[in-house]
Amino acid sequence: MLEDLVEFVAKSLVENPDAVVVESEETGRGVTYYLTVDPKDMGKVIGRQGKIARAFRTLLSVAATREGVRANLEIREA
Amino acid sequence: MNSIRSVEISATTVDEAIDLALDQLGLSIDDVEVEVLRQPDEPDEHGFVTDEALISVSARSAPAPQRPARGRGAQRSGSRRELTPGERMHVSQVGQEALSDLLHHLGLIASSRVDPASVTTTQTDAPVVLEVEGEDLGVLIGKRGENLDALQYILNLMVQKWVGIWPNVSVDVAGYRARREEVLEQLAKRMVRRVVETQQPFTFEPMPPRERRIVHLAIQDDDRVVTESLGEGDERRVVIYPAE
Repeated sequence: MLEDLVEFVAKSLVENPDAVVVESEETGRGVTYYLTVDPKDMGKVIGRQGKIARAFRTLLSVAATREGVRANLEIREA
Repeated sequence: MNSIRSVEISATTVDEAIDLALDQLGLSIDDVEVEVLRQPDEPDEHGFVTDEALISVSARSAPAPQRPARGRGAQRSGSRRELTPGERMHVSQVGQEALSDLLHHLGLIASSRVDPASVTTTQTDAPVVLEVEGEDLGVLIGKRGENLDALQYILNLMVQKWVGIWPNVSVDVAGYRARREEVLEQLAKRMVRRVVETQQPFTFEPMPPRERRIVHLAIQDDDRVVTESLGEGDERRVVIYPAE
């Protein structure tokens, strides 16, 4: 569910959706999602001064709150 | 001198109808007022549905004020500029679809609708407004609307990818933005009275950019005071000073 959200938003923002990969890892206090995108698309998911990444994390926390979990988002270059 | 000053035209899209009308009138988009009388697939006054848009285009009585780089070609190349009526329609459709998808992925049982007045408005710098309706939407608003701002920002980026320009979509939940704007305007005016009485500056709580803008705008015409934003990032606040 949360993974779908991360994938949906990421694919909607980037130029190369085929390169979008989302992996998750359970941590003690919640779930961490690792988002990998095409190096050329890093700016599309991070934004100037991290503005897009911040909004992305806020959206993820909205969905996570609904599910009663904590969720983190980490963005990585392919 | 062209004697025709106003035409009504139908075509399959609003954009196409506008282009036809401008050709007939021999005017550019900046010289006319466009009113969308009927969208494609919207029933006419007799209840008949056609797949054609109907618009009315009239020449402005006075020439449009001189603004730099406002030819149609120049407008289309910029990524941040005001939307044409056809683009407003397109943005509202793409935006509503993307918003529905987002709400679904957020696990919310909610629907979205387009505020029709925000699509047909001739105030070209006004946002296209999408309204979210549903149950338990407090989480979507968040503290000082920060969740709603994040949703709105991501949605604008998504729609921008489709339409090629900054779409200026505003997302509201159960009238939150309108209510908040009213609260901030009244607060601002109350604080102006206090500053005028005490001749001491007043500093607001930190606010997001959109809210600071509302406060500045509410006060800007009052020459008894001046306003300024101070601080960085999440700590940025509006300050009201007594005028000299």
